[in-house]
Amino acid sequence: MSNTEIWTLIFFMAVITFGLRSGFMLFSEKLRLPPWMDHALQFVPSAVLAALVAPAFFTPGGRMLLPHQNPFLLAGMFAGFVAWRTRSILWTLAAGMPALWLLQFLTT
Amino acid sequence: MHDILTEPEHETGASLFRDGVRDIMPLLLSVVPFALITGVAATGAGIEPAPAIMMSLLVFAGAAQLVAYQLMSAGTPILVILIATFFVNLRMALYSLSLARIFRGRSLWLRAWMGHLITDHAFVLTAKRFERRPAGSKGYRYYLGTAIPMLLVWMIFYTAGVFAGAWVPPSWSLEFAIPLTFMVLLFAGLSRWPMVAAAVSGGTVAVCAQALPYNLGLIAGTIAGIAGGVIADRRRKKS
Repeated sequence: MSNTEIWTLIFFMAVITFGLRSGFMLFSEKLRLPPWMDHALQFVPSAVLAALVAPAFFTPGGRMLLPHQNPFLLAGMFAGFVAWRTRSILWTLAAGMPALWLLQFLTT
Repeated sequence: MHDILTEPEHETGASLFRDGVRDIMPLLLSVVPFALITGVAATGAGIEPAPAIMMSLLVFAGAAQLVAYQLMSAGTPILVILIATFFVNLRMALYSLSLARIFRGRSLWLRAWMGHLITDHAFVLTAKRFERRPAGSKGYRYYLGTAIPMLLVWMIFYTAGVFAGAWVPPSWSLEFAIPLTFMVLLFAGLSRWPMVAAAVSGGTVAVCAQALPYNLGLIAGTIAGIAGGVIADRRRKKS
C-alpha cells in the first residue's frame, strides 16, 4: 500500500469509527435501534472474530493444507486449549508462538 | 430506606474520577500485550511510524486496527478494510447509545471527545457503576477516569510496539499473534449457545469463502455468523 493509500485508509477508518462512537450522542440523544437490529448486533463480535481466526488457522497464506502439514492449525489448536483454560492473552501467546516455531522448525 | 434515587452528595467530580482510575487499573495490565502486538502488526503491515501512531490516535480502536493490519498484509483493497472496520466497531454504537444518558447535558465538544474515547473496558466499568444508581451530573467524571488511563497506556505501548516491530525478523511469523489474540477475545464472548452458533457458522463460511476476491470471505463469514446466531437463538426460544 502506498503512503497516499495508507492516509486515505486512516482518514476513512477514523470517520467510520467516530461516526459509530459519537454519532448518536451528537445528533440525537433519543435515538433507539429497532429491536431486531439490537438483537442481531449481539452476535457481531463472535461472528467477526471467528471469521478472522478460522482462515488464519485453516488456510494460512490462502491455501488449504492438510492438518499434519499445517503448523498454524496445530499451534492454533494447542493455543486454543490454553486460551480456553486461562482466558489470558499472555498465556495464549506464550503457548502458541513457541508451538508454531517448533512445528515450523520440524516441518522444514 | 436509603433513597438511592437522589444524587449522592458525597460524590464530587474528583472522587468519581479517582474511582474510575482505581477501577480501570487491573484491566490495564491486559491492555499492555494487546497494544504491543497491535503496534508490531502496524509495522509488519508496512506502515511507517508516523502514520501508524496517527492512526492509533485518530481511530483508537485496537481490534479494528489489528483487523486492518491483517487485511493489509493480505493485500486487501481499502473498501473491504473499511467494511470490516464498520463491522468490528459496530458494537461501539451500542455502547454509545447506552452511555448517552451519562454524557447528557455536557457540551458538544466534550461529548464528541468522550465518544471518541469509548472502549470495551471503559464502557463495561461505567455501565456497571451506574447500573443501580443514578449517574448524576458528575457521572461523566467516572467515565473519564476509566477512559483517560486507557488512552495513555494504549498509546505508550502501541508506540513501543511500532518501533519494536522493525527489529523483529519476518521468519518469527509474529503476525500469528493476531489470530491468537482474537481467539482469546472470541472465547471470552461465548457466554451462550447462540454465540457459539454464530462463531461456528461465521468461521466455517469464512474458511469456505477464503478464495473469494478482495478478502470478501471475512464479510461473508460475518454475515453468516450473525444469521447463525439469530437462527440458533430463535430455535432455542421455540423449544
